[in-house]
Amino acid sequence: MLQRTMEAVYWIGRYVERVENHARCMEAWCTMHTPTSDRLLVHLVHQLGDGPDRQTMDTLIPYLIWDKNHDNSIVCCVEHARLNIKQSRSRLPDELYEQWNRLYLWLGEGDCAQRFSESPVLFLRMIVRYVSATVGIAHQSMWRDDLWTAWRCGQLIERADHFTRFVSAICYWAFEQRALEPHALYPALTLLGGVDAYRHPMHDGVRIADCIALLVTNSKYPRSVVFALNALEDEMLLWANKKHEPSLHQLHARIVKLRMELALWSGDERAMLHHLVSSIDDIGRALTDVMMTEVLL
Amino acid sequence: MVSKHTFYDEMIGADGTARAQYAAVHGHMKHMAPEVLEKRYEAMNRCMQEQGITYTVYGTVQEHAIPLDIVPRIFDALEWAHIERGVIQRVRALNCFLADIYHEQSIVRDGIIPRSFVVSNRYFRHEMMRVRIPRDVYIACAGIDLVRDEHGTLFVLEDNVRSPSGYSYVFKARAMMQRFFHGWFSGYAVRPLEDSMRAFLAMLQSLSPNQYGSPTIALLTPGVHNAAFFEHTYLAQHMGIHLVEGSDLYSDDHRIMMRTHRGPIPVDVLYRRIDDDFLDPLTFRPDSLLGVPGIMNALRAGNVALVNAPGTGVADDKATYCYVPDMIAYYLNEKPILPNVPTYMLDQPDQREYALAHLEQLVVKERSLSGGYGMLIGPQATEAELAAFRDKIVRAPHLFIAQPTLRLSTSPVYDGGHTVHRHVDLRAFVLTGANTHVIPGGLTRTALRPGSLVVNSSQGGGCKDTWVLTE
Repeated sequence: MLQRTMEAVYWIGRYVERVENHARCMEAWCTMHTPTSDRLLVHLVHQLGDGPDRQTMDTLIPYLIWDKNHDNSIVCCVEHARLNIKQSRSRLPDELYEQWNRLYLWLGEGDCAQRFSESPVLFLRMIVRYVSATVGIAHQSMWRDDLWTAWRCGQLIERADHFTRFVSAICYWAFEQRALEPHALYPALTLLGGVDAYRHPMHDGVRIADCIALLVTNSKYPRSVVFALNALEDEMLLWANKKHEPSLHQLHARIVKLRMELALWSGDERAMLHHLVSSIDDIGRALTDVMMTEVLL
Repeated sequence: MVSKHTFYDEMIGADGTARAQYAAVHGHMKHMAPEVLEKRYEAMNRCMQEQGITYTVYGTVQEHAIPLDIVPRIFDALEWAHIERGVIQRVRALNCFLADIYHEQSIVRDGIIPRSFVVSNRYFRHEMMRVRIPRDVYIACAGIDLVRDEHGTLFVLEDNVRSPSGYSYVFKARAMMQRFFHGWFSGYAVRPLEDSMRAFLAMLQSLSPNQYGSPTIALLTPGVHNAAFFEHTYLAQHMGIHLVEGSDLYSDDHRIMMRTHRGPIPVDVLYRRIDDDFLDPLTFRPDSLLGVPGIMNALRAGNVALVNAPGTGVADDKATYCYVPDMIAYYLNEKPILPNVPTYMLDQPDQREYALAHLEQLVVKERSLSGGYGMLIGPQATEAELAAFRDKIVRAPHLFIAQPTLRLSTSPVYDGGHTVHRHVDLRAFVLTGANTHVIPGGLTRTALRPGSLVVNSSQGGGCKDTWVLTE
C-alpha cells in the first residue's frame, strides 16, 4: 500500500469526524435559545483557532458552514474528505465514496444559506445522518488493516481535539455569563448524543462539572475525550507492536502519559482543559507526521 | 441535413419493424409504462452521479456523469465474430509495424511506407530504437473505433493505440442496466463481461519481465484531477493493482521502485495512462511532474514493462491509418477484414486539390489530435469555419487528412419521455499479451445532439450498454 494512501485515509478519518462534530455542535447551539447563546458560538470559533474578528451570527454561521475560503467550514471539510476518498478509492469500499458523494452532491444542490435559514436543525440533522451512514459503512466494510488503523487514528484524535475545545468554549462562556440557567446546557448535551443514559443524575440541571464529567473524563461514553484517548492508545499499541517502530512506541507513551495526568488532575478545570488542548494538539501533530513521512518504511 | 430515413438504424429495419436481435427489448420498451421508464432512467443517471462515474471537460473542473442511455445496442454472435477477427487482425499488423520501425524498418526499405513519413512523425520516438519490448507487444491496449454506413457495412474510423479510455464505462454501463433494467435481459443470452477484467490482468501479468514470481503491477495516473481518473481508479480496484502517481515512484539502479508503507518495492509492469511526453523528464519533456525520472532507462534495461510502450503514437496517427491495409498485406499476408474509410492525404497535391474543392462535403481531421478536437465537419460547418480550415490546410497540408462524410448509423436513444434517433459508433477494445482478448461488445458511443456526428464524451456524447449474443 502506498504511503500517500495511508496519509489520505488518516485525513479522511479526521475530516469525516470534523464534519459530524461541527454539525452536532451547531445543532446543539441552534436549540439552546438562551439570550446569550450567540456568545457560545463566538467562543467555539475562537477555541477552534479561528480569527477573532467574527462576532455576529451573520458572519459566524456562514463561516462555520459554507464559507469556501475557510478550510474548516463544513462544506470545505466535505470537499477535502471527498477528494481524499476519491484519491484512495481503489483501496476503499465503493459504497464509502458513494455515500460521501451523496452528501457532497446534496450540499451542492442549492443555496446553503437559504436551506439553513428555512430549517437550521433539519439542515444540520441531514448532514449528521449522511456522516453516520458513511461511518457505519466504514465500520461494516473496511478491512481491519493498516488503512483502518489510519482511519481510526484520524477519527479519534479529531474527536478528542474537538470535544476538548467544545467544552473549553462552554467553560469560557459560562465564566463570562457568571450565572447560567440550570437547564441551559441540557440541549447541548442531548444533541451531542449518548446523554440519555446519563439523564438521571442531571434532573436538577446541568452544571459545568457535569459537562466535563460526560464529555471529557467519562470512559464509557464514546464521544468523550478520555474514551477517544483510550481507544487511540489501544490502536497505537497494536500498531507499534506490529511495526516495531520506535516513533510509534513514543507516540503511544505520550498518550498514556496524558491519560494518567488527566486521571490524577486535582487543579482548576480550566487549567486542565487548557493543558488538554495543547497536549492533544501536540499528539495530533506527531500523529500527522507519522502518517505523512516515511517513518513506517 | 440528410433525412433520417437515409441512415441505417441499428434497431429498426427498412421495413419499420425491429431487427431480430432487438425484438424482445423493443417489446419491453413498448410495454413499460412511460412514467416507470422515466423514473428508472432518472434513478440510473442519479446513481451514476453518486458513484462518481464522471468525466471532466478539458479546461474545467466541473464533473459530469457520463450520459448512459437505456436502449442497449445488440450484436448477434456472427457479426461480433466478424468484428473480433477484424480488430485482432488490425492490432496484430500495427504491433508488427511498430516492432519493425523501431528495429529493422523493412517496411520502409521495401518502399511500402515512405521513410520521411515515419521519422518525421511527431509521435515517432527515436529513444525507442532497438529497445526490446516483452513479447514484442507495443500495443497491449487498443481501442478501435468502428462506424457503420447507410448500407450497414462496418468501417474502421480510427485506431486508438496510445492510451485509449472507456473501459470502465463498458463495465459500469452493464452493471447499471442489470440493476435498473434487469428484466430486459430475460430471453437473451448476453456474453458476460467478468472474464474481460481477468483477461486484462492476465495480459498485464504476461508482459512482466519478471516471469518467476507474482509481478507487481501498477497503474500510473496523472492524478485525481485528470478527466479519466474514475476509470483509473476503477481498473486498479477491480484488477487489484496499485494506483500510483509519478511522485509515488522513483528510479533506483535502473529499477522502478514504489514507495509503500512497508518500504520500497520494485514495479514490474506499469500500465501508464499518461502521454509519452510526460513519461520521463530525463528523456522527454523536462518540465514534466507527472512522470518518473529514469523510467526509460529502466525500460531499456528490461526491468520494467510499460503498457502501452512509448512510441505507439506513430501507429495512432490519422495518416498512418491510411497505410494499415498495406501493413496487413505486408506483415500478415492477409486481406483486411474490416475496411478503412476512404481517406485523402492532404500532403499529396492531387488529393489536396480535390479536398479543397469539396471541403463542404468532407470531414477534415488534424492528424495528431483525438477526442473530436481539431476537426471540421464540412456539411455542418459555416462559411467562416470552412474558410479558416481551407487556410490552415494550405499553410500546413501535411498536418491534415480528409474523409467523406459518412452517413453514420443511428440508434434509438431515450430522451425525456420519448425515443429519438442519434448517430453512434463503437469502440472495440483489444487486449494483447500472451493471448489476445476482445472485450465483448465494447463501448457504443452516441451523439446526443440531433444530427451531430461527434460522439466523444469530452464533447458531450453519451454511451450505451452493448450486448453480444452467444450462439
